[in-house]
Amino acid sequence: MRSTGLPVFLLVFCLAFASQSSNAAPHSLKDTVRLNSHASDPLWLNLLQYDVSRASPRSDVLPGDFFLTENGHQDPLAELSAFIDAAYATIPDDPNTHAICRFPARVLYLRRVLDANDLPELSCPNYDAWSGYGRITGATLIFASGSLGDPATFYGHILLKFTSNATFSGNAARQTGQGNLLDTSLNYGAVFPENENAVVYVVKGLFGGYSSTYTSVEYYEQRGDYVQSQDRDLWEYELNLTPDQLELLVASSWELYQQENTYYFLSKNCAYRFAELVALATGQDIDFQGKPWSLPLDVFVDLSTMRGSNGQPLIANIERIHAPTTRFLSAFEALNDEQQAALELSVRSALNANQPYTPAPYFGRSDISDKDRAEVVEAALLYIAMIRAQDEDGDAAEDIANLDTAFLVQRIKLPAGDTGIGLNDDARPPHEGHRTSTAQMTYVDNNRLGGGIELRLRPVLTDFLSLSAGEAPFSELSMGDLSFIVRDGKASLQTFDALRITSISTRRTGLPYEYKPSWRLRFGAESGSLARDGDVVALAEFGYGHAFSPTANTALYGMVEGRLDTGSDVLQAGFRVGAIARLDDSVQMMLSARSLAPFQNYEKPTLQSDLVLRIGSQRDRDLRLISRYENDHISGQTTEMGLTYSWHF
Amino acid sequence: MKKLNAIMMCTAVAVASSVSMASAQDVNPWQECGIGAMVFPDNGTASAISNVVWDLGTTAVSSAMSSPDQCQGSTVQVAAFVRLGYDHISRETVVGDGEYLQTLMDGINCDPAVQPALLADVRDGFAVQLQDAEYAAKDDSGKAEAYFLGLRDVVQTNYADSCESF
Repeated sequence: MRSTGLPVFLLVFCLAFASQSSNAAPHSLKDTVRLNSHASDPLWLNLLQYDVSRASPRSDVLPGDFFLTENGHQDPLAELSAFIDAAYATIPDDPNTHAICRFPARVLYLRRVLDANDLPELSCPNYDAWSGYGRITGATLIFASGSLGDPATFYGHILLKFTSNATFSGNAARQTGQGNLLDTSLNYGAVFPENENAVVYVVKGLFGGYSSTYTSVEYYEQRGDYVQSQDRDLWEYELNLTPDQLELLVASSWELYQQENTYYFLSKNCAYRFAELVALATGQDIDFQGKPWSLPLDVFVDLSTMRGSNGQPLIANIERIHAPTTRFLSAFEALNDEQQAALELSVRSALNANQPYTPAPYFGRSDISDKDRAEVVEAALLYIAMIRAQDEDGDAAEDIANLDTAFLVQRIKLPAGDTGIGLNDDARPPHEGHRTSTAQMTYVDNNRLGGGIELRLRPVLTDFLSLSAGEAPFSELSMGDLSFIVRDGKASLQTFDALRITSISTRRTGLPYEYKPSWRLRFGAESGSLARDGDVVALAEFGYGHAFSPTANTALYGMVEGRLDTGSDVLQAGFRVGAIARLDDSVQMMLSARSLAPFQNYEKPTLQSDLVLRIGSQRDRDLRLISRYENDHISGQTTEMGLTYSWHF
Repeated sequence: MKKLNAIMMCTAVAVASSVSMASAQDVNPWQECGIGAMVFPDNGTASAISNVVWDLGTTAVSSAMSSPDQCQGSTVQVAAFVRLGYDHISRETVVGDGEYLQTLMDGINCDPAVQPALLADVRDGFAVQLQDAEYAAKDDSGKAEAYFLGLRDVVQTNYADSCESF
């Protein structure tokens, strides 16, 4: 047996020294913290998600294991001090539970800001796996377009994903690309019970009745949910970040993952939280253009004006992921007339369960190339994907079962190679459309009441004449739309639309299942007549009808309409016809005419018409010429002409 | 003696690992891991997250499986991807190209040199499946299962040394 005297002595000496230095390091760091007031450093406060706009700043993260001290959510110094201690603490059997593994962003803070270079080196299996074993090369912020059919999705949504070239095993990919569907993604949203009552949902969502959390799944799940199931376009905005910024973003995302906040639908929502994360990484604020509400689209408007550390735009690249419907319609429009006819003939044959599928004669012609044939079949496969995405009730599932196999078989017999049909559209990214809020000033001249100034504020708006980008065409959505008329020194409420939605869906193909009816919904209040200022009535209106497009940029529609209001004619019904025309970005026009009659006095309808012409292609302003007409049995004919200056912000 | 014990122990661990790996690779995730029941989480709204936080991968799969060890490997991850992405994968396989198909190929991490041949073999195999009346009669989950088993068969038979998964 060899003597162990000297080594034991050395070991004891080293341990004693190490113990002393491991105590000294946190003490020294904590002294630095106290002296330099690092606890009030904006970066530290951001890491803890402190809301410094409060009279008494506190973290938005709900108390829990995000904090190491009981008062960590309102005492950043105590939390920093506790974290320093925890970072130097003994490493437990499961390193995942050590502060260094739980809070990698705070570790970066100690290293980068407090120069703590003697922190224990620790392998963190859970964090390493989540962050792609250090192989994350980029970050992409994703805008999910809104859907008029679901109020909670009106204004879109935001996701975050990290590019990592992930593989199923977690090992390094042999083939390096630009990331893939296995990339890690982060989502944020309210947590609420299934089948929540809509009214309860709105009230609790507006006033902080729900908690919210970050979840993380592979990106293909998000794609499946938002694109395949909800039929929504995704716009991927790749960020231009330095390696240090990216590391901080990933680390902070890990810290926040599964933590809870209180959810506010209009302010502290997904847009706010992801803006906060990007601001943390880049050191640049995203302020939603100073608005008190947080719209997802405004995050991208702000990002589009920002620059990365290298002086290049903060948005490095934008990619569109088509929803099944937009992809199919784009593919259909790319087909020539013969191909469209062949598609329709083939689809109708495949839908007929009483006879075997017979491809259109087009496919047997010798003058048709394989590429042309492939384009038609690929469009058919996209058509099936569209039906699946829209078929919420499963009504079409049985009908399309034959379609699927018929076209898969037909396509596999043709040479391999994607024709890319339907991918070449010229839609502009959502942030390049009109800004999301609008203020308008209109000079109006009324043939009965004379001149006046109409002032209008539309906090959230997409109307028929908006410079469209990434939204459903021929649709409008407005909330809290408020206008006053100032005439003869007196101000009167003109309209208040708490909510106004009009969805005009035109038939774009002759194929079954493609067409959806148009509808309209409006709640609010307005002046009872164009012939009188004031006389405000509360109202609810609804419409249902059909539309078609004689050209790609034109829609004609007709609807039956009903109206309930607090005026003398409580219940009214009638019809509306309208036209929307987009000549180009600079000139767009809408016309609508409506006849509404009281149920008990149906021979005396009120006729109304509105004509608006928008001029200008700038994102932040335009001019509008308006003409209004009304004819009712009390006042007779009233006309009003006006010129509007719109400021979009 | 201690050395011998250590060697035997290492050997036993290695054998156990390879047995475990083999069984994990050969497991049918549809039959044994509840893959067939997987659907996209119905978040319902853009800004909402279901109160059932649903993490795909080991968390989701393991909650439905009968044998945790067999259901946590990359094979089951491949199966989950095929199950949820089948609409895209089937369409892109007949086309011969596409994002989901490329992710599948990259994800099973084969030698890039064999990818074109592997893809051609998968496409040929799928062409045969599509002609089968039994395949046509299956529901989406059944079709995805058949696709997955076909893919695994092709990889294990012809590309076992060149690919990481299976």
